[in-house]
Amino acid sequence: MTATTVERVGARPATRIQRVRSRLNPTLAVGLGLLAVVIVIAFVVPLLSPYETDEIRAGDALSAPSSEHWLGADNLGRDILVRVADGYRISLSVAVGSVALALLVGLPLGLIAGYAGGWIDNLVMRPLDVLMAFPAILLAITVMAIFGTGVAVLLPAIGIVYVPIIARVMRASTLATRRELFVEAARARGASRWRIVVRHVLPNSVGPVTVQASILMGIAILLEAALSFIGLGVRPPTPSLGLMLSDGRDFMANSAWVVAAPGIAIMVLVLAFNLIGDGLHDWLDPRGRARPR
Amino acid sequence: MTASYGGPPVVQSVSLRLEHGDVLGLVGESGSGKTTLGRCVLGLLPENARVEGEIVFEGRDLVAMPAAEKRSLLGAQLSAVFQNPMSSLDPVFTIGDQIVEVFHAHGDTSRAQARAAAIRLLSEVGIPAPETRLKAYPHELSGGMNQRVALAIALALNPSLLIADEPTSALDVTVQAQILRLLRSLIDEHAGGVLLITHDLGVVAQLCNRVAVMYAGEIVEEAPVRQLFAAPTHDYTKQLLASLPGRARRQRPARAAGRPAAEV
Repeated sequence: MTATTVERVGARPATRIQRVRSRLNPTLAVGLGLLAVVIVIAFVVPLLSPYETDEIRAGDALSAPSSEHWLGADNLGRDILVRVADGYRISLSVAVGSVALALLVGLPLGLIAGYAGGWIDNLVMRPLDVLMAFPAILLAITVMAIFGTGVAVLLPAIGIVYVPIIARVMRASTLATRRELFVEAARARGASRWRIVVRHVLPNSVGPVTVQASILMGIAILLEAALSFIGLGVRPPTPSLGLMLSDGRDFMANSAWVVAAPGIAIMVLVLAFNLIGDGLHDWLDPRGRARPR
Repeated sequence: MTASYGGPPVVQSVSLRLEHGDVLGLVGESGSGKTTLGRCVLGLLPENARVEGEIVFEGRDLVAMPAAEKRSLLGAQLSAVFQNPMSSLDPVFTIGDQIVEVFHAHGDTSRAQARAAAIRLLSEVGIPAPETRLKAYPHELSGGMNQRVALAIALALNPSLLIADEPTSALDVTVQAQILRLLRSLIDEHAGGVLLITHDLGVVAQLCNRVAVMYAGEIVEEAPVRQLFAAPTHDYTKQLLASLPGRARRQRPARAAGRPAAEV
């Protein structure tokens, strides 16, 4: 019974039910740590900071990082640290929200396509293939051109971009899972189709999707930053890391912190999600092969 | 009945009869069609499979039966144990959950009753400390233990027919012997009849009272166990018995007529 790595990936994912043993590998740990830092910054800083996001203090304009403004001030004298914190909250909500939407739609689609096969599979996947052919930014821009800008549109716009990706991963995983012996055994016990899909196939197929989801969260942040950068993302005065980059462009030469701060902030959060995704992948994979005897 | 996967028949014009109290061994090499036959009875064939004929189970034809009706039989009156115990149990549920599931799926047992029954079953199949084991996951148990659990699940509702598809083939020899002994005692207690699919004549000798030998999709010989071993009539059966280690070899007889559906 030699299972190759290719076979094993996705075959035994961890789910809410499996207990977390000592599988917290360094990648996952660092990723989670970074994410924790971001969350702390996003939610704690505004409570502790003496400044408001929009507080314009002309006298402090473009001041370098100091004990007064830890990350310096922008061209209007607004404290950058507080703005980064606010931008983080927006980024986090966009990341989590858009991926959550994509999961809500894409997961069932992938599951149904993978399990049913045949014409249902085609019916579901071919339109998704068409959707996937569009570059992400283009698709998001198109949606926003139709429905306007702002976070409320941004979430589904990015979500739509992600639905085909999630559906695809879920479908592949489902195809592998449904050939497992325990699925057949469940059928031999008289389980209905519905029961098999929801109770047996779904939990066992969801692993690779969680890995993909966390990576997509990182990309969502980049998408939001890019869209806001070109003015199509969040609407001011809602803060956004991308907007901060855009606004700070003109002052980059002499006051680097105005773009460095939001830039590094974006990088840290995206890195966190990427590391979590990688760490999750490693966490799920070797677990499938470990068989205590 | 006859079954095919879209090509030439894999199981050809097979006619078998199993009575209550029988343990019928279905012996054959890989590709003989024995697994297909078992799957056929359970209704587990893939969609490109075609079945002709009838399978009469307790007065009803399984082939013509509507799916919903069949599903109410499966797991209750008609159940199965499979070859690979490590993968025949769902890895994300505890074994307690999986045993209890059978009760819930077929009848209105309360949770407490189902749990009590599960504990009873687990100790019957020889699993120590059953209350604790209920919360264990399949990957935490060995192959032998998992196969015991699988047996517990299959026999939970006292089926009239248990189909065992190579139940010991994936286990090491000492565990095999244990499981076979367990099967022997459980059969008397819980099952009406058993269809034991295997390639291992030793298993047949230990458990079965009747044997059917399959080759190339057909049943070439069927007889009570003693008779088959003592005085085989078909050429293939003779070769099969001659291939057992330890028996005196005569000169190689000619190959039996017929071609297996799958050249393995």
